[in-house]
Amino acid sequence: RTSTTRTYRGEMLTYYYNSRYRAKPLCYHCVESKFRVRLCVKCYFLILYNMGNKSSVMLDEQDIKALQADTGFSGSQIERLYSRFTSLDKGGSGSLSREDFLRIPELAINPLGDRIVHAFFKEGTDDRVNFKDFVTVLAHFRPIKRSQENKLNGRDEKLRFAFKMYDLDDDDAISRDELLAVLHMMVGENISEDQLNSIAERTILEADKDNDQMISFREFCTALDRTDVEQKMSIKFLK
Amino acid sequence: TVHHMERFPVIVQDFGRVETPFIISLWIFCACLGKIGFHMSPRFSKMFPESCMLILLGVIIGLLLFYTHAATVSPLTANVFFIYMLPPIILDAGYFMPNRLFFDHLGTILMFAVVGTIWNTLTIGISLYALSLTGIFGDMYELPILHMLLFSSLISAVDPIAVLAVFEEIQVEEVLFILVFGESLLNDGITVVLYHMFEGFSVLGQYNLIMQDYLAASASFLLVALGGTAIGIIWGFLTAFVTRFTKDVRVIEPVFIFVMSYLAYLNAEIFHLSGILSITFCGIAMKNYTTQNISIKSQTTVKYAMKMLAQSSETIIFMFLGVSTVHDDHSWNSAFVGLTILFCSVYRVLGILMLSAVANTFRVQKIDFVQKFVLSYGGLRGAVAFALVLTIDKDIIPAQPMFVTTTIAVVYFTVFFQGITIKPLVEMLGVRKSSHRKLTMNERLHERSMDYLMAGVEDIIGKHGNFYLRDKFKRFNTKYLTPCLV
Repeated sequence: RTSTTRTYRGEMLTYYYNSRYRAKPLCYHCVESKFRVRLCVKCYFLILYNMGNKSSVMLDEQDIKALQADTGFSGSQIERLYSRFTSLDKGGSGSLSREDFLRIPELAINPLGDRIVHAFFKEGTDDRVNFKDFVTVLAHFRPIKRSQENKLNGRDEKLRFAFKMYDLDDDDAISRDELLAVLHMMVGENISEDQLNSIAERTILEADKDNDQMISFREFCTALDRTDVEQKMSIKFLK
Repeated sequence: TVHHMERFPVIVQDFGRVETPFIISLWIFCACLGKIGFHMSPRFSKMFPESCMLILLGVIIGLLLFYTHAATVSPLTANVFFIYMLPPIILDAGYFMPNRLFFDHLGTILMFAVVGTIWNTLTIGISLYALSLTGIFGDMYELPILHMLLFSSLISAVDPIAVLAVFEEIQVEEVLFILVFGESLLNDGITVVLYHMFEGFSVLGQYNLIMQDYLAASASFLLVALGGTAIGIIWGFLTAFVTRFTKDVRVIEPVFIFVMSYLAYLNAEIFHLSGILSITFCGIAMKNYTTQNISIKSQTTVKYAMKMLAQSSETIIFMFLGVSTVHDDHSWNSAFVGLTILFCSVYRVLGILMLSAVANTFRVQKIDFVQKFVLSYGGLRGAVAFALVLTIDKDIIPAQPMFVTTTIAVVYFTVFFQGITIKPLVEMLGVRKSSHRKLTMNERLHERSMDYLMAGVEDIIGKHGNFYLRDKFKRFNTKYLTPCLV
């Protein structure tokens, strides 16, 4: 039973290994079930290595490199996001559940909180988010750089993300009901049902070019042509 | 002798009784006529900014008065300027401030306003002092460094009135505008402090200063800026609160808005806090709530009355600036004037380059080259500097006449040279123009959902950025402020 503390980018993380070599936090490759921890090979060696040497990183160079290539984040940004990820991961399982997200107090009272959390979970797959998914979703909000390829964070991808907030059934169109649902969440009880209805009507009427009473993704983009989406949907991630 | 008794006259002439208001009204009348004439000839109004025309008109009137000795009213005194003419312009700016844009860029604006102004003051002051040691300004002036710094503190502040006058005509994009204009508004706090600090230091004398004075000066900076802001916000909320109860007397609604924000300004000035910051934030704080409280007609009245007061005030300031330049105790020093203009321009450029490089590391939307250029070129000096230089006491600072003349020269240079050339330059560089339009339903709805989305993402990555703070404030607003004030 040993306990090691090391400085991880200015943050103190405590690693404790019990008789079963359980390490916390785990990297996102490792799987933890109720009784057993299956460590990936890297982590296994890492823990062995860590016992004698206190200066190594949980996310190794290769992981960071791969994520960097996929998402366009810098290495230090990924490390910072990783430490945020592990602090959200209360169970220490290496992945986040919906509850983990909604434990953030501000997010829980955000009117669109559920939708935002939902966007992190891919449909059909399991209901947990690993670190890679986490970073990939967040990459949508990287500021656009002219010198760089913008795979995930281009204007279209940003708009697609915003569009998905409305389009729950994934049919590539916002129906009147979907719009009303979001309106309900955002304005609360202050506005009467009639007014909400007429807002929804007007919004659809305004954007709907092909008269199908729905807003398709193309129509959505056209309606926001003059909005500075590049700026509005970007966050400066800390280095 | 027969006592000659004056009979009851049919008509009397008593010009003396109405001289000052009459002459001033006449000037304002002339200025407005000039304005009409200016806009009638599209060729001129496209080439020159209006402020240039008004100053020229003022100079002509000044010359006429000077050579005919008709009247000896010197209109633009510091008191008249700071107490009557400045507040309407700043209130108009604060009340119609695009709040969101302003607070989004507040960090950058504050950096330009605070660090930039200190940088300009120190570099200009020290450079001028260093050159004065070489004797380049002639040996008639041996200026202590404190006097030089006093002068540089008033000359280095960007003037909100001049900036508004020029930038409203060229209509650049919103971000650029808010950066220049926000800086010119917020640097008032620092200018007031630096000015009073160096003035106080000069009175004390260079060799009597102790550590305590420096500490007091730094503390007073915080007090002046934050105190002015706080007073403004308190008055703003009070105004909003009072307008809750005006449902039965709609006619006096605008009165409250005008009088209470003026009180905010005066209240700050009582304690020598920053009046400009006070009235700006008063306008910002009250606007959301008053527009909900007062009738639509009152809103229109407020809008037009405010615009009218601000416009007239601006017109009068520029014309009075012209009139006031014509007097006979100018003290021209070519080297001093030339170098002041040079340093003002060079250090402004350097400051902007440096600070925008720092700001860019924090910003999502970078300040690009064209914006940097317009930012440094838009650093216009104006009537605030002029009014401040007039308040310098000649007995304490013997170089005051030279400072006045130089300030006038710098104001003329920036308003005429930079004001006239900025329009073609902006077109040449292809600076994006602003597009004033109403948002569509879609834009309003989706932008709102994007705000919530971004606030949520900031919560997830654990960063307390703009969206997070706005979200916090919004919640506080709907929970506590709105129920109290609306």
